Amino acid sequence: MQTSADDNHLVRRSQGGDLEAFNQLVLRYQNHVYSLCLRLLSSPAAAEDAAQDAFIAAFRGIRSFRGGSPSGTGFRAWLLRIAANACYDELRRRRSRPALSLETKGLDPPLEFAATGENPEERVQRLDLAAHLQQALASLPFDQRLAVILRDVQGLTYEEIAEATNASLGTVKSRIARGRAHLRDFLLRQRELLPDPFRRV
Amino acid sequence: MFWRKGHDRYQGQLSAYIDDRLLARDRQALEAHLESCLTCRQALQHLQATVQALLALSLEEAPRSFALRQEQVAPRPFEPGSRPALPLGGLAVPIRLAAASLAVALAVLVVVDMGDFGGDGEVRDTTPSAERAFETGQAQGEAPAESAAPESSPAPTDSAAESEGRQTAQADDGLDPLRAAEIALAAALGILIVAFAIITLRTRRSL
Repeated sequence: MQTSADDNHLVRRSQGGDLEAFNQLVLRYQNHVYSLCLRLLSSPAAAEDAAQDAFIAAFRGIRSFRGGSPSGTGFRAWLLRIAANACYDELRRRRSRPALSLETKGLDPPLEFAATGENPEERVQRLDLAAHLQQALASLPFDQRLAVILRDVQGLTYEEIAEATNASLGTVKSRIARGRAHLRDFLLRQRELLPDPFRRV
Repeated sequence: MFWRKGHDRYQGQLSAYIDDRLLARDRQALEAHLESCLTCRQALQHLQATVQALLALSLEEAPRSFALRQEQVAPRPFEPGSRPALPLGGLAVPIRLAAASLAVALAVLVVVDMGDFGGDGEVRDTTPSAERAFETGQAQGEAPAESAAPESSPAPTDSAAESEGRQTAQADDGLDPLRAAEIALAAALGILIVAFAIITLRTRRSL
């Protein structure tokens, strides 16, 4: 995704220290950032902290953003990179302090799919699969989890993921392939617990 | 064995195939293989179902606005270097005192040394004349007894006389400023070294 002209205008104003302009970018992308943090951390509370840290870091570092250069990535990819770093820091912090461990999924509300006029049974199935998927994502190594989420949930291109993760295209392709294969195997091991569409496959 | 290797290779290409990221010749080879291989076809279907499930995961709505307030982005104390503050703790005052003492001691040393008042000159001036003669004779390579030792005051030839002379000098003039500066310098350096050793230990523990 390329940085839109409107984004560029707001970015330029933000680079001049205009907090109001930056907050317009925040409102535009906060769902993307929060979703990425939530999928990476599996905890709404931790995701909220990481997302807030990411936006603060983004404002402080926005002068380093080169969206206009030929090799520059879009603002969203740049922002998601900062969010991923914030999540990585959060995971490291929590690993060093077991009391803050993210292994408290039971306390968190289940992560949901997009709802489109479903009946109650479909809703239960959807929540079931969402819970399994989140569990499967959490079992992936961080790099693979990040690549799969950026590709399949956030919809970034391989090139944008390469920019956002500071990795080569070959590495991105490999991480996505290994991550998806791991998720597939994880879900297949629990096939009987999954909704019909997956069992039929 | 070779069949297995080819099989693994094709399965490794399935993810890129779903995203249409294979070269044309690789895609054609994979599609030809899929027609004849049920295992790989099933693997592709499972992978596609996984990707579809992931795609159906919606963007979560942020639980609140993350718009920043001015106080959240106020410059930090160490910007733009953004290095964290050293964990000085209760050592801040001793370190400041030591640094101030160090600066004063250095200033005194420079003034005394350049002005050549106090210090060695004064001590030599107040040293008994016999000792001066003794030192002068030594410097000129003459035997002390043959030098110009006055008859009225026998030449003191041991260090006791020398120290006596210095004590006299100090008693006359109070504390030698050069000596005082040296002591202050040594003390300040000592405090600084101990303080930085403690800070280093604290920093390593906090990492």
